[in-house]
Amino acid sequence: MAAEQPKKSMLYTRTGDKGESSLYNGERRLKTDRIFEALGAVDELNSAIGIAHHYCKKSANGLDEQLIEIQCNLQDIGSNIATPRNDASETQLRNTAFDDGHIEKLEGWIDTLDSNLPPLRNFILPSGGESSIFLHQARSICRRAERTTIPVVEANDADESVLKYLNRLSDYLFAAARYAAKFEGLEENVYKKAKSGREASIQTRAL
Amino acid sequence: MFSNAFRSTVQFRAGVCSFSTTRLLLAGRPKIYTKTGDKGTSALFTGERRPKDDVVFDALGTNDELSSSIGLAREFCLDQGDGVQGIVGQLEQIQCLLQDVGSNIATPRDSATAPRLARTEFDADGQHVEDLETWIDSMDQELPPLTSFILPSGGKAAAALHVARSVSRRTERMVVPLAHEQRVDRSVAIYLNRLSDYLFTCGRYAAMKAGRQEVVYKKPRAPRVKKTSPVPEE
Repeated sequence: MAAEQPKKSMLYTRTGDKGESSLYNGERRLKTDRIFEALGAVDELNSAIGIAHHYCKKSANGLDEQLIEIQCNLQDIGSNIATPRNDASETQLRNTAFDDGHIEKLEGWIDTLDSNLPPLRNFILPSGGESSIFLHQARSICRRAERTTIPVVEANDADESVLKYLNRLSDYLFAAARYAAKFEGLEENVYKKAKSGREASIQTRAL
Repeated sequence: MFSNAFRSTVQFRAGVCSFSTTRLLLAGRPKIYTKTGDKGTSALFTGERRPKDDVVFDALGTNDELSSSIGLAREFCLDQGDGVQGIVGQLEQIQCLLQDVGSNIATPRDSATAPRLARTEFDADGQHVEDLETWIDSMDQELPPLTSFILPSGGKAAAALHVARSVSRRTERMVVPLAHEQRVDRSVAIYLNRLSDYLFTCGRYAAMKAGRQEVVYKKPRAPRVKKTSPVPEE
């Protein structure tokens, strides 16, 4: 480590220290505002997909490129959410519009994945190896992203296409998770009505 | 033996398209995406449709996140192998129970029909909570006593168990208000409360079995700030 002081990073602006942040249109709002709630959830989703991507690439299941495209779309979705539709300039709106076409593309991917999967005969549990599980985790975070985006869309602050994309994305992640398990030849655990009592204690003793 | 569970899952497919971890595709292979949720509503087990940002779906979704986190922790326990095989089996059983927890949450106790209530009753005799307690006690016996705060650490399995524990807490926070209003069975809130204790103990246990040291909290020392010209207070 060099002894001299490093240059000040541009990363921390300190402007958010008072609990506010700014939107793309320059407006400042409290960080607890529903817009930041939605942006934060989309960001978490993007991170979760990042991990899933890492494992999918490792297993060479072919999902990695789709996941990257989705991550880029989530970036665009973030821009859409950060630009209140009823309070932004026309250029800003145009720059941050989210195209319906992405939803159709997702549906195409789902159809392809699904056609390679055995039909579901029972509830499955998040399982089936690392790639599959991380995709399930991303799926459950995707649902949260969708829930937090709803009030934003209802207030006309984000486009409805964003909501549709998030709804379809959790379906995609579900199909992708099953596909990843199948690709690695790993079994998915199925829901069984849990036993309680004596049998469970026997299991404990074996621990 | 399976037919009851199967029958109820079939009904779930009819009643609830997108609330849970899982879907059931029946003969004829309907599409996974139904598009019925695009307008931001989803259906409960009772058939009632509500906006997806309703507190019930918040609770269901968080419960779903919890099951995913546990799936991940289970996977790392499988990798670790030695000494934590017991946990692997327990976690799988817990994932199934969380599915039942989801059914309970998705069936508002204050408005569902009696047969539906009966079918989705959760842990009426407290046995599942007792199981958790037994498991906790048995692991705790082997663990060194806690003398300081520990940080989520101790290898992949242990760290993943801590993540699951924190998601379990979040699920509990979502469920508690619903249980207070008697829209979800109290047993569900109790189970989730005990589950985070169980996951905490598992985290410590997995670390011990991996021969890993848990990182202990130490008060970080703040560097002395050089006094420069005073900044005017806003």
